[in-house]
Formats: sequence, C-alpha cells, structure tokens
Amino acid sequence: MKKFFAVQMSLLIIISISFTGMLYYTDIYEKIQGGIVEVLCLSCIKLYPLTSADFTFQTGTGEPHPDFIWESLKDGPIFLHYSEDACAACDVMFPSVLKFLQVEPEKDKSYHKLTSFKDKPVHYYYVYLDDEATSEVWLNTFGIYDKDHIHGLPMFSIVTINYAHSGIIEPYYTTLYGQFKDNDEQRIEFFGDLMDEAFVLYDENLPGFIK
Amino acid sequence: MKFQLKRLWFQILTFFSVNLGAIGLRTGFCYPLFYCHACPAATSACPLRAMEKSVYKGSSALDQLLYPILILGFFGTVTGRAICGWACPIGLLQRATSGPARKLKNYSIVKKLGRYRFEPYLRYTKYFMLIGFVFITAAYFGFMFTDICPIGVLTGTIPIIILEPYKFVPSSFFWPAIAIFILFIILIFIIERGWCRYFCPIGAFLAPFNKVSMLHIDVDQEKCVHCNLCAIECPMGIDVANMYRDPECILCGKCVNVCPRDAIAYGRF
Repeated sequence: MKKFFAVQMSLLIIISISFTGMLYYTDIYEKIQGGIVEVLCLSCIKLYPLTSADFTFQTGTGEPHPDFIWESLKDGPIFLHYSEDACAACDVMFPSVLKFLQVEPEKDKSYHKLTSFKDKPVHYYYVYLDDEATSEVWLNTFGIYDKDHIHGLPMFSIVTINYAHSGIIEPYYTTLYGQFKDNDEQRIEFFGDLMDEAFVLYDENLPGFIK
Repeated sequence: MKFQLKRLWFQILTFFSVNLGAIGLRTGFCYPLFYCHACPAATSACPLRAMEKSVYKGSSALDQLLYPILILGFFGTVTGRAICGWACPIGLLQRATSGPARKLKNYSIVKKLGRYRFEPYLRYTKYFMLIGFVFITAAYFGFMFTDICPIGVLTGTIPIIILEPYKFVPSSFFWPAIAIFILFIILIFIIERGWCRYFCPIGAFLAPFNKVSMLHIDVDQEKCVHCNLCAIECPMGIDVANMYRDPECILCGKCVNVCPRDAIAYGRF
C-alpha cells in the first residue's frame, strides 16, 4: 500500500514540477493562447468566412495604419499574407500566392520583398505568426487588417490608397480569409482582379498622396 | 440522490467555467476534458488540437505535445476519469440523453445483443481514435480529427452559425462532419454514454490513469452479495461488483448510491 502511494506521489510530483517548469521556462502558455485559443480554427468549425472583397478605410481594431505601411505605399500597393504553424488551409494557399507574386519566402519565416505585378511595384509582406523573429509591428497588423473580425488564418490583405471623407488620401484595404477557389489558376485570377482594382485606385490617387 | 444532485451542480458549474471566454477570459491552458476552442465562448484550448499540432505533417513540437499530456496527466493522477463523470460538458450532455438509452435496454433485441460478448472489444475503438486520428493522420496527412470532430460541430460550428448566420459558408468537411454529428447524436440517445465508452480520445487518454489514480471506487467483496444493482445503474456498463480500478469507470458514484449494503465507496490513495 505504501509502495503504491509512493508511486502516486512520485507521479504527481514529476508532473507538477514538469508543468510548472514548462510554464516558467518556455513560452508554451503564449503559444497555446495566441496560436490556438485566440485564433479562430476554421478547420475545427468546418466553415469558411463569407466575406466581401470590398475595400475599406476602417481598420479591424480601429488603430491607425502602421508607419511601414504608409512608407511602403509610396512605392505601390501592398500585399500582406498571414500564416501560421500547422494550418492546413495556409498550406493550400501558400503556393498560389508564390506563383501570383513571383516570390519565394520560406514557409516558416516572415519575409518582405518589393516585387511586381504586371511590371508595377508591389510590396509583399509574409507574416508568419509563429516565427519568433517577426517584429511586433508586423504581428500587430494581423488585428489591424482583420477587416471582418474573423481572426482566422490564412489571411490576405491588399492595401492601396483612396480619397477619404476626411479630405485626405489614406490607406484603403480589403482582406480575404481561409481557403477559397478550387485551384491555383482561379486564385491567381481572383487576386489579380483585386490587384488591378488596387492599382486603378493607386494610380488615380498617387499625386495627392505624395503631396 | 443528493450526491448525484451535487454532481449535476458541479457539471453545470464546469460548463460555465469552460465558457468564460464569453466574458473575455481566454487563457493559454488546455482543457483536461473535451471541449472545442473554436466555441465562441471557449476559455482554453482542446488538448487534442495541441497534440495534433505538435506532430502536424512530421513536425515534432515536443512542448505542444507535453503540455496537454501534463495537464491531462495531473488530473488523471489525482482523479482518474472522474473528469468525464464530473466535469466534461459532453458528459453532462450524455447525462441528459441517458433516459431513452436506459429505456432501450429493456427491449428484447437489445438484451439479445447484450448476450454477445463483443461489446468490451468495441471499447478499444477510442484508443484507435486517439492514436490513429489524433497522432498518425496528423503526422502523415494533416488534420483529420478536428475536420470531422462532432464535438467541434456541437460546440463550435453550431454556435457560430447561430451567432453569425451570414458570416460563414460550409467548407468541404462541413457535410461529412454534420453526418458524423448526426451519428453522434443517435449514438448518445441509444447507448448511455456511448461517446465516452467507444469513441472519446480524451477518455482513452485518461482511462489508464484509473489504475494509479488517487481517487477511485472500492468494492468491499466481503459485504457484496452480487445483487448487480450497481451494474444495472452504471452508465458505463461496468460489472462493478467484480471491478478493480476499471479504466472505464468515470467515478460518477451511482453505484455507491445504489448499493444496498454500502459495499461500494470512494477510495483515496
């Protein structure tokens, strides 16, 4: 009996110490919170967001657009691509974006490149949420450009400029979520149409924006 | 019966605790029970998702594997499968659907089926679910369990559709998952605690802990007259009089309450 009690107590102590150690010395709590609990698992709900591709000025969190977005918009529209570890839909969409913008990011590393679309400059930002090297500023944009408050992955935002009601030219964006369309060709065509729209707005408003 | 009422209150209290996300409490813990983090009100993560993520397509994120194992291990060591009987919201649901299943037991065809001794073997299905669907498919093909999980449909999909009816469209897994969910509902209405007995991967994980848990059910063989009232009352269909630290026991205490000779009691250590 005493032997059995000793086994139980040892097991409990080992588990308790290991668990406390994990909480104290690793970032597992934040990983689970940020990577599972706070992100809507689209595969768990077996649904995809039905969102419009309409552009808007209003950011997801109400925060202003970050400085690097304003800076990048001086060169051309921006394509923001958000992904995370162990995300089936991210894996499906990843090659489509690579083909669309002719970029070659590593899947698990955040990345930036000034690339082109129809010979016009586009800033491509790949934000991998589980890459510890990703800057806080980039990570914050996941909430800022969460247009429909889905908080699900993958997420794609196209940012351009437009004349706002305030009388000044401001960033104007749209966001898409999850896996959509059936194959790479259809996705590339869909992204292409949105990018065309972004460039029309960009070209119209660029003179006022630079001033 | 007062004891069972206490258990019911505890289950209801746990149900509210796991849904504190509704008031903004979203932690980085894993539940030690079956509940989906995709539920709009979820407080914590499903331990199965963390396990799946840890091995997803050949990756080996040991921290994400160990973390839910330690949480489940802690509760398993202290209480065994009492989590299933006392805390799990899916257990609460099955408690509510147990009436029709109990009535079905009186039909002659069910009694006839009961004579075949294959039922204990079906209980191994949950271990296959845990190893096969949570680990092997996640490691080699990608997520499969979460794509078809009926608990995800119940606690994630349905509330989201109700709360935000025009915001989502079905994915390719939606209809297969709905079909499995319908089977799940049928199962829990025709077999008392059918999900816990045969399919629950969390139950499969906790079951071996019954062998070493500090809390368990003891049967005093000297007092027992083998009247079998306990076995009839047991929601898990265990031969209580002859059990010793049975992995299937969810420590609900129904056998303790029903025993006319007080031969069954909770044991500690």
